[in-house]
Amino acid sequence: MSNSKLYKGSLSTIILKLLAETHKMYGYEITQKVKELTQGELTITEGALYPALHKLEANGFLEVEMQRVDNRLRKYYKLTQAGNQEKVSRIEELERFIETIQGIVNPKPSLG
Amino acid sequence: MKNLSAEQVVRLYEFTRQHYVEYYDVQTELVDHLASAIEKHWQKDPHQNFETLLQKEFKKFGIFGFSDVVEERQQAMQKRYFQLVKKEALQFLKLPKVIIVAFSIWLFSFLLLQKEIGFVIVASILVLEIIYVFYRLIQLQKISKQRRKQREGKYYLLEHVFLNMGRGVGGFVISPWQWYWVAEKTLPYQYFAVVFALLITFSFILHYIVFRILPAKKEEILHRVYPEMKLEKV
Repeated sequence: MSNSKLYKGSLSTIILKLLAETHKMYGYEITQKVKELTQGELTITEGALYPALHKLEANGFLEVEMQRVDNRLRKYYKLTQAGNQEKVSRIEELERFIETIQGIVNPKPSLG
Repeated sequence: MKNLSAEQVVRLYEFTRQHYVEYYDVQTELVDHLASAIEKHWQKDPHQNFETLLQKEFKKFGIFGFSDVVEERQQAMQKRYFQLVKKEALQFLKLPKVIIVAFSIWLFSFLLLQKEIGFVIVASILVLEIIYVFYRLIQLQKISKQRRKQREGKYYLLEHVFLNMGRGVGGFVISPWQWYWVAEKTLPYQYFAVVFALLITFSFILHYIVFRILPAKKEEILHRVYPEMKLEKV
């Protein structure tokens, strides 16, 4: 998929949004959820997902919970209170950006 | 549904180590990712070969393999470490510690204003500080090596940062000296004495945090950052 450059700046916003809707998620689950929601149009690469998750965790937007699943450990990510606030502002920012891009790509015909 | 066997999980840990992921916390996350992806393939066809699927999933990490993940994790943990240093440093601006800080600044300014004799005393204290910093650096380096052996491969990244960041911060011991040459030439002596006293005090606080306070709190902080430590049968 050649759209990776387009969504790269929005990856953290996508992660925050998904975690706000689902109580907690693990890395692989996030990649699959994005694939499912976008019917395979958007694929989050593994090499981009974990750095983004770790950055969000270091900034205090995510907290982790570990669970033993079968015979291995699974790391779940959850939104913190700060993460919830960050999600709201980032989504607003993204919506404004989409509107701006739409204005450029699809300008409304002026009446004058 | 076909799941990975315990041996296959061990193989995944070995695979991450072979691809330069030294830290157990990073390995654990990658192992679960690879395992989940392989199990997803098995949902469609349980007869697919484990090793073939492993290579297929590893390729998805791109040409640099796991290195981006490790690098970002390292940066994130360093950031976390500096946040801890900052939090401890702020304590020195509050009562009662701020009294000691103010006294230290006053004492060093006073000594420096005595010129020759005062300057000799301050210089001697700074030499002792350098000796202490090097002593702690060597000590922490030894602990770091021991830990790696004790944890039997389960060495956590933040623990590594805790035991090795001192080298970077330790370098600050030289800083008051560097500033000395600049400040002495550019500032009137009485101002220089205060500025130099401030720098010395700051470097003392920093070293106290990095070499005393944080190493003492290491285990408690590691357990908070890595909840998996409780699940581990170390």
